[in-house]
Amino acid sequence: MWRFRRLLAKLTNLLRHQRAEQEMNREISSHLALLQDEFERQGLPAEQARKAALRAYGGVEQSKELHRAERSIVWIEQGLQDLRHACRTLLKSPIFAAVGLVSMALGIGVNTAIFTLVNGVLLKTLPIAQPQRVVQVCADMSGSKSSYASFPVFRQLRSQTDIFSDVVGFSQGPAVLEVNGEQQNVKSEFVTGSYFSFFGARPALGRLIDEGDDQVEGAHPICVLSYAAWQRYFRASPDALHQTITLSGVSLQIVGVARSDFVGAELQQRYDLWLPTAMVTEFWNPRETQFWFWLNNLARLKPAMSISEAAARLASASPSIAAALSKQPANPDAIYRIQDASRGFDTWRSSLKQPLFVLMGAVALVLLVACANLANLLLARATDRHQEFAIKLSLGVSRWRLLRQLLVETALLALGGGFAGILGSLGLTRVLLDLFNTGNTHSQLYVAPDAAVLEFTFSTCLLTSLIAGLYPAFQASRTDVSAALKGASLYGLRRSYVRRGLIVLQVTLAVTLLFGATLFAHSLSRLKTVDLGYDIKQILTVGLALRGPRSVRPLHPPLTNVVSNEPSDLIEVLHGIRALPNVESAALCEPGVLSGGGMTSTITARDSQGIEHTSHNVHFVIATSGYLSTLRIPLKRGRDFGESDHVGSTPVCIVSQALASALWPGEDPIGKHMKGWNTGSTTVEVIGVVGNSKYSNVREGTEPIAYQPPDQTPGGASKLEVRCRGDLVQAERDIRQIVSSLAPSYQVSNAASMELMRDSGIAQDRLLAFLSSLFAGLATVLALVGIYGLISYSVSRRTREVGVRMSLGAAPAAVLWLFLREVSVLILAGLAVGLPLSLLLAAVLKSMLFEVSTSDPAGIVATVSLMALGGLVASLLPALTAARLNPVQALRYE
Amino acid sequence: MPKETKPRFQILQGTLDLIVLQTLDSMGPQHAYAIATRLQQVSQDLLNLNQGTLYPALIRLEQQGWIKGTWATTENNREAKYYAITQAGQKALEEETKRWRTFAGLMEKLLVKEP
Repeated sequence: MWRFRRLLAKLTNLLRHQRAEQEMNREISSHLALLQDEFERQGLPAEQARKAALRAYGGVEQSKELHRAERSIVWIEQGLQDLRHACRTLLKSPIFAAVGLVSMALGIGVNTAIFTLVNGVLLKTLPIAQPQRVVQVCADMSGSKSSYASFPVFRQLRSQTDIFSDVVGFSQGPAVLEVNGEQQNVKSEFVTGSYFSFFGARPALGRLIDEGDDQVEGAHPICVLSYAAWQRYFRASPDALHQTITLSGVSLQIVGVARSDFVGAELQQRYDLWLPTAMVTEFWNPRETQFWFWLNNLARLKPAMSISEAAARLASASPSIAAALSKQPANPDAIYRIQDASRGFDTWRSSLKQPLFVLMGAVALVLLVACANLANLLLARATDRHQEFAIKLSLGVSRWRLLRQLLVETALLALGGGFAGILGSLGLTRVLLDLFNTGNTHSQLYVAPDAAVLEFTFSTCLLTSLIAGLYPAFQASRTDVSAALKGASLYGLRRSYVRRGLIVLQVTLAVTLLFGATLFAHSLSRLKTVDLGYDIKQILTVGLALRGPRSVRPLHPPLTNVVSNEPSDLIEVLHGIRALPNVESAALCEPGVLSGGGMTSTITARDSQGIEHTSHNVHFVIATSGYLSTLRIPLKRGRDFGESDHVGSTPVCIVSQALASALWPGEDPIGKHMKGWNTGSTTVEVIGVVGNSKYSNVREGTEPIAYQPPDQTPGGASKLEVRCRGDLVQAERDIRQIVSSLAPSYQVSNAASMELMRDSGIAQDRLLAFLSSLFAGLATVLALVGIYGLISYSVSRRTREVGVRMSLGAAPAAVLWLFLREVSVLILAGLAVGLPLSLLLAAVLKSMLFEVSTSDPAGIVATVSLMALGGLVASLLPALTAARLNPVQALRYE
Repeated sequence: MPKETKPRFQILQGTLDLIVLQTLDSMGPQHAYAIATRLQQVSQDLLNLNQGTLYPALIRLEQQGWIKGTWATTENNREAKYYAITQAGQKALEEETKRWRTFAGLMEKLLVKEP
């Protein structure tokens, strides 16, 4: 009890330092007065009595220190003193403080933002017990790895109970939700029965999906809402329970709501609702379909099973898994591999690892530039303050205490900057995610800062203040007291070399970042201007999906019923859209270019000599007539599909030039026949040849493509490519209107401009180009501020010298040159180190660049000219001041 | 001629607190100067004690809530801070005295030379 009282009293005294000091002084002087009275009573004269009293009392100052040590906690008290002192000093020079704070805020802010991404994508582990026992299983099919499994494969994996204690499967579901009569775009996910229990999740309301819901296909039309969706669509009302919602035309009953902190298998994704995989039969395909690979998985190892042992057992069990599937398993040779998933399913980790490392490196360089800036400011300030330091030292402040005081000043700047940086990073992170997710409807990257980010920022602040502050503070604490007090003005020649060195360092780092940024920017512009083989401007891609449970709807009805010659709903929609005034042309197709998805198979054909040619990895496009003209793919020979190419007529196809030259080198392909998986057992006749084009993404090379009409293929076509006139938003509205009025059995599942789809395919490149430019810009501005500061300082130091030169006849231009030469040397030195360094580091970026060399001459030219121009501007302002000096005033300057 | 010196003792850690408590208990509220004078009288200058060194003990005791200081005027019309022992202080004094006696007894026994 009394111990606690004592601690409390000590802590209170920390806060009321002034009052405690007053009280102490009052008591000591009262004590001395009493002593003096006593000595006077013994007959000493007043002055002698006073001295005797002091002697009897003992050292007053020592006793004060004992007093302070006893009443409070000394090191905290001294720390607080240093802090107060630092605040006062910084407030006295607001411009220095502001520049220092802004440098730190920028440096730490960008680091925090990028670390938020690194932490969210690469570092965070699953929020469950023993995340390191969670793995994911991939099928290794002679070199090509896939994380997707069919449901029968998933079941086989789950039955490996000697390896896994549990396996869960999940796959993204339909996206169109109807709530209260309104259509909403949502993210849904099919999950296997033990999904929620795998993560130890508990409901916020009702219940979660369990094994019973996932047994019989289509038997349990239920779903579980996420907490956010529950708030958004039902205002967190408990009445949501047992209500029915419609997902892509299928009614589902809400049985529960997950807790707000439930994330699931993918840490960077957020879902609005979950439904059992048994329900997938009602939406897309029967769950048991052998050849349909749609489920991702996570597995928990059995207790005491190591990852390597599990991997070995699973590899040896692989043949039996294939054997158990059916007589004709889809991937008979697949070996199942295990990889660590303690940080959740690998949605982004592998693909973003390298870009994030590059970005983290870039922000570290920005922070170094900011540190150099701050160190330079501190050194300049130390020169102004050397008399203050000398006085302090001569008054008995220890060098260690002085060092500490200066470090506290720097730390205060860094922490202040860090605080501002955290606030800034929140905004920046949001901008980055928006930039990255634009147009990406399939998967959205989601990360948020957490305690680890705060920890990182705090330690960065402390590290920064050491890097930036240690040398200046150390120098200051070594102030030569007698020289400084005599007013020595040539103080610290060495320090000025250090300052120049710091500028060269800043220029070097800025050059490195600038060069990297020009590479990414150049690469992005190549990606945006590369010839796709078609014209994507003004094209709207609209996905259509049949509404309602699959069990009651027809499977891909032919576009034209040959018997009755009646057009199907889709043809009605197509005609309706073509008739719109703001539509130039339209066509139906599958899978649609630049969608990221595709159909690929091997094609064989005989040339006129009867020699068989095979082309592997031929991409297929199913397209109606008008597709080629809508996308402006040039028809080189032959004809486009027509109304006559329907179910019963001769099977036909159109081939790209690349496919034509692969199958019939040097011959006319028109009238030739070819055969492959997608054509069934029949051969198809080539009726046209078109130009080469990109199929699923911008980066791919020239790949062979074959086109077929929908009614002659099993798959059908349900995507619209529409070339619009004017506003795309208005056109989309009109098209949705047409669909709902002409084809009530269909709904629009997604709609996006093709430019947006192209952009979402190069999201990583856009992110890198934007961020590297931002970081290079920041580093350059910081370096220029450093140059500006150095030259301003140099001008003020050399004012008298300038005066002498001018009075001896130097022209203003010569004075200008005096300072510009100083800058040129620094920038040239920075370029001399920076350029080779950039070229060296650029090798790391090779795989991230598109059609841009890592020693891109345009990039070098841009970097050099930007840096030179910037340096000129930054130094011209102070140098012009010097050139305009009045020699008389300059000579009097002190 | 060598100056006659009395042996002076460094005061034992924690003992000073006990002495101050005891002084205040027997003499009633006192200011620091009076306590110091009293200590010097009782010990006949055996204790090596600068008057200023008394303060840490006073602060300690006050922070522990065993004594309480209030400002008042002396008979010579000087202001001084008078310290009085509190109830908690009296209880502590009792316990500390007991402990000290036990300790002193133990030391006594240990130091007795066996015949």
